[in-house]
Amino acid sequence: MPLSEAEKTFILHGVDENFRQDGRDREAYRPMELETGTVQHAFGSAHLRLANTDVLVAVKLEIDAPFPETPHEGKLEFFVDCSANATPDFEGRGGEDLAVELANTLASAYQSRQAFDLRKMCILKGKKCWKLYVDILILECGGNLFDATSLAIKAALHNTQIPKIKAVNIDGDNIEIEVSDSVSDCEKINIENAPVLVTLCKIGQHCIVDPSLSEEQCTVGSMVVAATKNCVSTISLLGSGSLHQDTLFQFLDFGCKIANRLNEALMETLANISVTNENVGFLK
Amino acid sequence: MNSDSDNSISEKEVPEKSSANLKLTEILEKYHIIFKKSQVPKIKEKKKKHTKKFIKKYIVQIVKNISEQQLKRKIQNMKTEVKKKTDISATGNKNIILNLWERQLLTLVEGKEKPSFSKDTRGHGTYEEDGDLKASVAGVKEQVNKLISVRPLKSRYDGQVGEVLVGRIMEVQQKRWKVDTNARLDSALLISSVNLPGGELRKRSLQDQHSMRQYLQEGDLISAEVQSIFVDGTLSLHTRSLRYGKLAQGILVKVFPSLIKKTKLHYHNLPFGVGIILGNNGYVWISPPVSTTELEGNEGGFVQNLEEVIPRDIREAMARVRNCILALAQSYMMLFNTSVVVAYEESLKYAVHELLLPEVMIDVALLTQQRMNMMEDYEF
Repeated sequence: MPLSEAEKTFILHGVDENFRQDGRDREAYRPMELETGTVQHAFGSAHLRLANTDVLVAVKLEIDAPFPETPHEGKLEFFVDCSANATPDFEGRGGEDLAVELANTLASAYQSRQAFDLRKMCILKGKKCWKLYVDILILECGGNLFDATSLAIKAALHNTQIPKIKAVNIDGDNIEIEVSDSVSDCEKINIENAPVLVTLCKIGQHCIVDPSLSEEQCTVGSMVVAATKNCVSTISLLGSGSLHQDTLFQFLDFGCKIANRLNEALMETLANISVTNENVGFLK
Repeated sequence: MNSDSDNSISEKEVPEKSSANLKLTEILEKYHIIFKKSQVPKIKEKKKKHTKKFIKKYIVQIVKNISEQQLKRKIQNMKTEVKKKTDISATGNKNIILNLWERQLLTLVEGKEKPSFSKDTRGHGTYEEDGDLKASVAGVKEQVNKLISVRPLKSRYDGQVGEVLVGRIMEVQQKRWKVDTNARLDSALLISSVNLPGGELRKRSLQDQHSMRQYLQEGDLISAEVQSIFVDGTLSLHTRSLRYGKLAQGILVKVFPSLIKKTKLHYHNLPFGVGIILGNNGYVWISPPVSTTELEGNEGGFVQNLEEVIPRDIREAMARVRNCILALAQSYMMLFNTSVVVAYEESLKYAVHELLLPEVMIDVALLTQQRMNMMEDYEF
């Protein structure tokens, strides 16, 4: 969707004045709706809606052998599916580039041990470990995909329950794992430090968060910062455009501040979500 | 059924085979309210009462016990029988011969007026089931004589000549611009139907064709009017009036086309310093107030002042209008001059950014609805 010069000017002046098209200031997010446990077959899931962006995340578990170079650690894999329902641009192979970019950014954001400790996912050193499949389905695309996705992933991981291992029997090369029979006998994943992605857009001389689709059109450069408590795990530039060195550091500080705020809000919400046995899903 | 068929219903007396039916219809005459399809509680209760009375009478006169269920089925069967006989599409030119009771029943159910009974022309968005006409989409019923159609709430824009639109230039082609107007196909704005700088009588040369992009380029927003509709359904637009042309700074909001009320005026300067264009195609343009003197000039409206900074208070009012329109649209409320003004006034107790919250949006829509209802009561 191209914008006219006059519309771009209007948005630009609005950002300068710290009053955007919909009345938000530069640091404000649009309201979000979060639902956890929406996918019954998954070990953990979350559905996040941020204005017109709709993301569904499901976490699945499998027992696998760890990589030889990291025998103490479990595995984590991200897969992004851009449904053609989201925007017609995703039709055919249209969404593939974006999906790969998103998956790679997430993978590198979760790589650091400070962000997400995969050692907890190890069952038997060098032999068995849990493999987490994080499947991300983009149902609607209304701008600011990275932020929405990262929040949904964090919520889904929070919702995930890993079955407890009762016993491991080793018989030569044969390893048998006994999983607890009780469904409720599970462990939660610690997501305290899991990163939150914040997209920062430079419009004019200023930087905004949570851009709408039309605001994304007027950016001169945008950057994704994956931040956990006081540390940045990944930075990546989106699209074309470049940033000056000073601006970059300024952006990083700003991104960390926003990420912390977002993280606090998310953790508070997750703590308030009560566990119910109601039927969930889209066909309620 | 058309008026000719009235003659074709023969008055010939047919040997009365089913005198029971005749008796039944005679009793029914008194209680014809049973046939009313209305679901209004008052009438519903009346219907119930009449049904009970009717059963009593039936038992007395025909000396036969019958339950309500059986009776309903019996009447239904009789109705179907009459329907079958009076179905013009099935009987063709044949004379329709009706029994006495059949004729009576036909008048009772107002067969000549009822669409489902008299087989009216079925329009878009409807289908037939068990002889009844039903809507296949959620929307508003529209009736033109005997043609009944349902206009869906959610759909693309179906253009009509003379309607005001807001559109975005998608492509510059030879002699025409392609405009996105939320219709099924991109609309066309021919170079012959715009006012070029230099007045109306200006001749259009080949050079104008070469410099089309100077006037309007990809992404530009325009307001226009539907001039005609091509055979393939593409709309042909024109901007041959000072009101139409390129739009300057402002906000575009997209809603469903059916939510825009069709009025004489689609350009409004709202009292709180905001101008809006409610395009019939569901695109709403919110801009700073448009002064009428500004419209004059010889450039054909293609020159814009991009340096101008819109003052904060107008910007706030515009953002508020934007959020109000989205709130109304989310609750499927009609958009027109008054509803937008009322919504704006009702929203004043919230800050502009608070209007993005779902509960606040519903609150604003509800308050607006209430005030609109009150205004209607007062006016009529």
